[in-house]
Amino acid sequence: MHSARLVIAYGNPLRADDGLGWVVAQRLRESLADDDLFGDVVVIAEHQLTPELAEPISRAWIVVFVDAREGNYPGRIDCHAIVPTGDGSLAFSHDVDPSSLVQMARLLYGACPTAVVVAVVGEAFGYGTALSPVVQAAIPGVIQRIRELLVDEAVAVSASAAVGSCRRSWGG
Amino acid sequence: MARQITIDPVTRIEGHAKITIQLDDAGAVQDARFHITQFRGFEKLCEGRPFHEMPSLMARICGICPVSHLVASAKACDAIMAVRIPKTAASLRRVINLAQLIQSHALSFFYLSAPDLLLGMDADPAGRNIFGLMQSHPEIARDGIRLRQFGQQMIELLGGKRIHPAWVVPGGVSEPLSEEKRAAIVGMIPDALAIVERALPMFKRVFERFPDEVRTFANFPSLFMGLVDDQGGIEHYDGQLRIVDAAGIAVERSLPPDAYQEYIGETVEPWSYLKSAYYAPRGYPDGLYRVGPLARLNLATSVETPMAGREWAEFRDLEAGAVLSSFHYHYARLIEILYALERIGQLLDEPDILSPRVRAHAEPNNLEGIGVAEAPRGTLLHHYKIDENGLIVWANLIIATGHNNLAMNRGVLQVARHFVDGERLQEGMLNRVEAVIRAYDPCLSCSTHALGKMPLRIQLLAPDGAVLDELARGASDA
Repeated sequence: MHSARLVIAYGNPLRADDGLGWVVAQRLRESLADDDLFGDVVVIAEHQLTPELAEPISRAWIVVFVDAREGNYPGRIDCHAIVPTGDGSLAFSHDVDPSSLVQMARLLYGACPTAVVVAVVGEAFGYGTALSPVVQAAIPGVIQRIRELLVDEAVAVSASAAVGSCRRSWGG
Repeated sequence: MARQITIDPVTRIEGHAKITIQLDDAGAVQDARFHITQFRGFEKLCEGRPFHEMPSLMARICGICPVSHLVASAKACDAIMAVRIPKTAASLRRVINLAQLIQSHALSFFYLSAPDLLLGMDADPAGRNIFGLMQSHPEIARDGIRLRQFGQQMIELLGGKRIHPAWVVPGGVSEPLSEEKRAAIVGMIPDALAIVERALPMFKRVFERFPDEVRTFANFPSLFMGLVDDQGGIEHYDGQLRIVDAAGIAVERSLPPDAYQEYIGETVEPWSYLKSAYYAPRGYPDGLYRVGPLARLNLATSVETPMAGREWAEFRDLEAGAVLSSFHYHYARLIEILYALERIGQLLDEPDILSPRVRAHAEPNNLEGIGVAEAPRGTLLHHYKIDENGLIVWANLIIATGHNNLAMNRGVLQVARHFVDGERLQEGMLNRVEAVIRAYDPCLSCSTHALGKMPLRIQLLAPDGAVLDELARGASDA
C-alpha cells in the first residue's frame, strides 16, 4: 500500500545550520500532531541519507527531503523535484544523495515516489548546536512549504511530472 | 630503473589511506605499503575529561561501530570503578555488541565487497558498486540492506538511536530492557536468519570462482588473536585472549586482557599514522598476528549455536590448521552474522533479561582501567589512567585495524607481487590490491565509505618524479 507521506530531514546537529533538519523535524511533528489531515505522515531525522531509507521511500507516494545547503542569500528556501538518476558515482555507503536514494528505491523495490527537496541556504556550518538567526527565521516558512507539498495535489503532481515514468511504475 | 606506484586513496574502505608499490629496475614488485594518511588524535583529546564521559566520547571515534567503542570504554570504566556489573547488564551489552556486529558485517560484505565478488574483480569500476549490484543482483542488494537494517533497528531499540547511542554506561546500561522491545527484537530474528541462510550457500559457490584470490590474498602463516570464553568457545564481550599459530595450535591459551602490555607491543612507522601491534615475545615484525572474524573462527574450539556451529565446522575443514587466506574474512563474516543472530535469541531468552537491576554505581576505586571486547573487525582495547579527581591523564587505544596493520601490509605485498605488472597498469590489478585491504574491512576513521568511485589515482613514477604511466578515476570522470 503506497499511502504514506514521508519527510526525511537530515544534517549534522553539531555543525550549526547543518542541523536545520533536526529542528524542522521536531517542529513539523508538533505542527502535524492531532491533525487528521496528516495522519499518515512519517517524519524521520537522520545525520545522513543511507541506503536503508530506500525501502520506506519505496512505500511512500511522496517524500520530502529537508536539508541545509551552502549558497548565496542565507535563509532562502529552495524547493525542487528530484529525478531518480543517481548512479552511485557520488554515493557513499552511509551518505547517499537524494537522487541516488530515490533511484535505489526504484531499482530495488520497483517503486519510487514523487520526491522533492526543500533546502535552506545556511550561513554558518562551523561547530555548534545553534542555528544562525537567519536560518532560524526561515523555519516557519519551511514548515509551511512542507505542509503545502504534503496536501496540495497540484504541487505533488507538478513535482511528479519530472519523475512521471517512475511513479507510474508502481501503480498502487 | 626503480619506480613507485601509488594508489591514493584506497576505495571502499572506512577512512582515508593510500597504497604504494615499489618496483625494482626490472619492473618487478619489490615492496608495498598500506599508509593511513589521516590523524584522529582521540588518545590525546580525551585527556582532562572525567572518566565517566569516556564511553560517549570514544563512541564518536566511529560512525559505523560506535557501540564497540562504547562497550570497550565502559568496561575500562567498570575497572576504574572496581565494580562487577549486574549479570543482566552484561547480557544486554552482549546483545547490543552483537547487533553492532550484524550491521557492520552486513555493510562490509554486501555493500563494499559483494560488488567485487558478484561482478568480478575486473568489472568496469563505473558499475562495480552497490548500484551495479542493485541492477545485476537486486535480491542480494535488498537482503544486504535488510540485514543491516535489522542490526541498526536492534541497536536503536536498545540504545535509543542507531548511531552513537549512550545506553552503555560505566557500571552497566542506563535502563532495563522492556518486554515490548525484547519481543520486537526477537521478532526480527527469523527474517534475518533467512537472509543469511540464503546468502551462505550462494556465496560459498561464489568463493570457488576466486582460486587465485584465495591463494594470494594475504594467504600466509601467521598468528591469530581474539577473545575466547572459559571453554575456549567463540566470544565477543568478555573472557580471555588466546593466540594460535598457523597450525591452529595455541601459543597462548588464556591471556588476561588487562595484562596486554606484557604480550602486545606497539610500534610506529614514519609512513603511516596507524600503529602496528605485534606479539611481543616474537618481536617486531615477526610477531605479526591477525584479528577479526577470520581469527575468531580460527581461535575458537567451539561455536555453541546450532546453525553457526555447523557452518563453523565446515569452515574449519577448509584447512587442516588455521584458515590462512584473508580472502576468507568474507566467509567468516557471514558465519559470524549467523552466530550473532542465534546468540541474540539465546540471550533474550534468559529468564532475568528484563531485570530492572542493570547498573552498578561507584566512585573511582582504581586509577587505571582496561576494557577489551571484540569489535566487528577484531579485538578492541581501551586503557585509561586517571588522577585523584577522576580526570583522564592518559589513554591508549588499540583498535582492530592496528592489530591487523602488519598483516595488511604483508597482504598488499603478496597480492601486488602476484597481480601487478609493472610494465602496464590495469584496473583489475589495481582493484585486487585494494580488495585485499577490503577483506580486512579496515576502520580508519569510519568517516567515509566510498562505493567504488572515490577519486583514485595510480601513478608510475621515475626516480626523478616523472610520471611514466597513470590511471585515474573519480567523481570528475563520472
